Amino acid sequence: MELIEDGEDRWRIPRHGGMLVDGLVFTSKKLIVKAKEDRALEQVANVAHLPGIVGESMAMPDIHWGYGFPIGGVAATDVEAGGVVSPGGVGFDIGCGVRLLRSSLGWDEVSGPFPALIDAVAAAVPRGVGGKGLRHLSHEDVDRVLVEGARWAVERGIGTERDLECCEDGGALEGADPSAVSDKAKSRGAPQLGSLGAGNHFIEVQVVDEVFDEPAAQAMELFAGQVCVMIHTGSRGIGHQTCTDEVAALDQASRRLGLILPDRQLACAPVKSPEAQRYLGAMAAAANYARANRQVLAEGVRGAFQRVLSASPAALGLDLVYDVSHNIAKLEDFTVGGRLRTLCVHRKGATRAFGPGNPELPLRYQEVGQPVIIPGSMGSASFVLAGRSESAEISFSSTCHGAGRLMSRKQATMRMSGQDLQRQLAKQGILVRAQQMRLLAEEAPYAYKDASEVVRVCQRVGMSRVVARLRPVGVVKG
Amino acid sequence: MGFRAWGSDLVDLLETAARAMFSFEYDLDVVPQVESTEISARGDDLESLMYAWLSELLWQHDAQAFVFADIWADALEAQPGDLRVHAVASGSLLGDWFVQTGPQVKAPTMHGLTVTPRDGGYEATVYLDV
Repeated sequence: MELIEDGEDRWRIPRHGGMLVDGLVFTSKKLIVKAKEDRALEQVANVAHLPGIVGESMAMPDIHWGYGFPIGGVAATDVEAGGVVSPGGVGFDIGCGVRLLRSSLGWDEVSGPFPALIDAVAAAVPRGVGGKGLRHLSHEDVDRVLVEGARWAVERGIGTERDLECCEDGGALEGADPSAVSDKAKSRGAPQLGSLGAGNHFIEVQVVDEVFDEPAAQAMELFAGQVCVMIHTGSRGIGHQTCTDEVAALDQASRRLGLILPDRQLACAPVKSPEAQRYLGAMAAAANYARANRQVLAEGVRGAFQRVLSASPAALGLDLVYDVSHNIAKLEDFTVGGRLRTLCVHRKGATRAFGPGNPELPLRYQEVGQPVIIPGSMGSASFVLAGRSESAEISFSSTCHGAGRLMSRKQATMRMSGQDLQRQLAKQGILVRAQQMRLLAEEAPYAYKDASEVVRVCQRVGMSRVVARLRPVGVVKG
Repeated sequence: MGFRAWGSDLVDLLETAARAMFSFEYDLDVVPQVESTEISARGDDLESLMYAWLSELLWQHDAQAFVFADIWADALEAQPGDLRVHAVASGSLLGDWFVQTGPQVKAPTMHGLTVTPRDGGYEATVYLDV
């Protein structure tokens, strides 16, 4: 497969075989090396086979090998031209994303009781295999969560209206169809609302280390030395089961329609077909569950802060900066070939990054652009970015989603035990509370790419700009 | 992550693949065999049967909190375009005794999934989302 350097931080895979468009990878000379090693570039080329794809099959700088789509993949299909939606372009953890809570506290106010605080956060958050959530839902409430998303929680006193204002889509994606979600999926989701799960999901207490864009930081109410909380999780079992069900359904549809795809995980159907409409309804429902899940977890974290610091919610000021998904497909309008078109934009391990003035953004971010939350890894920095208007033409208003894996889980665990890693991080001033110590090493900082290099590439390319860097001080893992 | 499994026949392959999938997460040999459950799956070709089979097992593990010790496929019906398997399994409900030794498997995938006849038996390649 040919790979051509096409300007700074751009690598083009020329159309060949059954590809309908070129592949385009936004990454640096340093980061492209790993992408060449793990067959992720082949997956960029595979995605270019999707019917109706426009522009290029894209990948963000945190690209790595996935299933069907690469992680970091972005693909847009033209709905009116028979463009398809593919569950593989969203992934199993539908609606997985990140939310960032800022506080009114400086690190000097929290550092004393911090061991007790991180213990309290860990105790407040169910996690790991079989972890029941903070809320066990009735069948009726599952359906309400699937439609109302984070609003379901806020209407029951879990959070505030301000939280909804700072959630993507106001906390609930339209078009959710609970009837498209199987009973099996609902049975997995009913006991799990308000749980973290395992793997790369986490809750981190962080400190704003440096501000790079003062006006944007002011709009997001961020300042150097400030304590923040980042929550990274998704739709838990209900999302996994929905994707499982829908890949099987669309695999059948793809074969019935005679679609020739290089990978069955790219199973798809035209957006206007009944199968695709069912998937989009189920996907929106699972994405809404993910938003409600992060909303409930955030309230658990707020409670832990209040108890340990003996402070009122107003004094803590644990307000939401933003909540955004990085595994989702959405219908959005973009100009392609000089014509405004409705596209189905798949972002799998990629984040929407609307620039200033976009009407979908809350008023408080209209002048600075959409906040984009980029988790690093334990021991390395996370970032807050802001979307740029130029990203609409560059990457269908998309940017990166995280650091991206550098080594396999097995490779990571062979290098260091979980206990040794915990001790090493403690020496760096980072307290880790893990449910399963032997799994901790899988998520070690050395197993991931350098997030600072990833966000620098996104800034150089013009997709987003760096607002602030946050360093971890406490990590709660599944 | 993924695995390659071999079976002397299709039933043997499905059983081996089931044990392989759960062995990423825990040691099947130490699970008390105090409960049993039944599993049924169907597909229209070998790959979709394998996908449905592993998906059903994972659903029982996650939604029913069933920890598998062993799985026996006791009936296989194979008509063109309609493959069905039924199995019984032993194990325990999830409890404090459970020791997780590896990542939780979220789902099987269709990515690179193959089930092919080989040397008089069958071989499967399966990738799992973890």
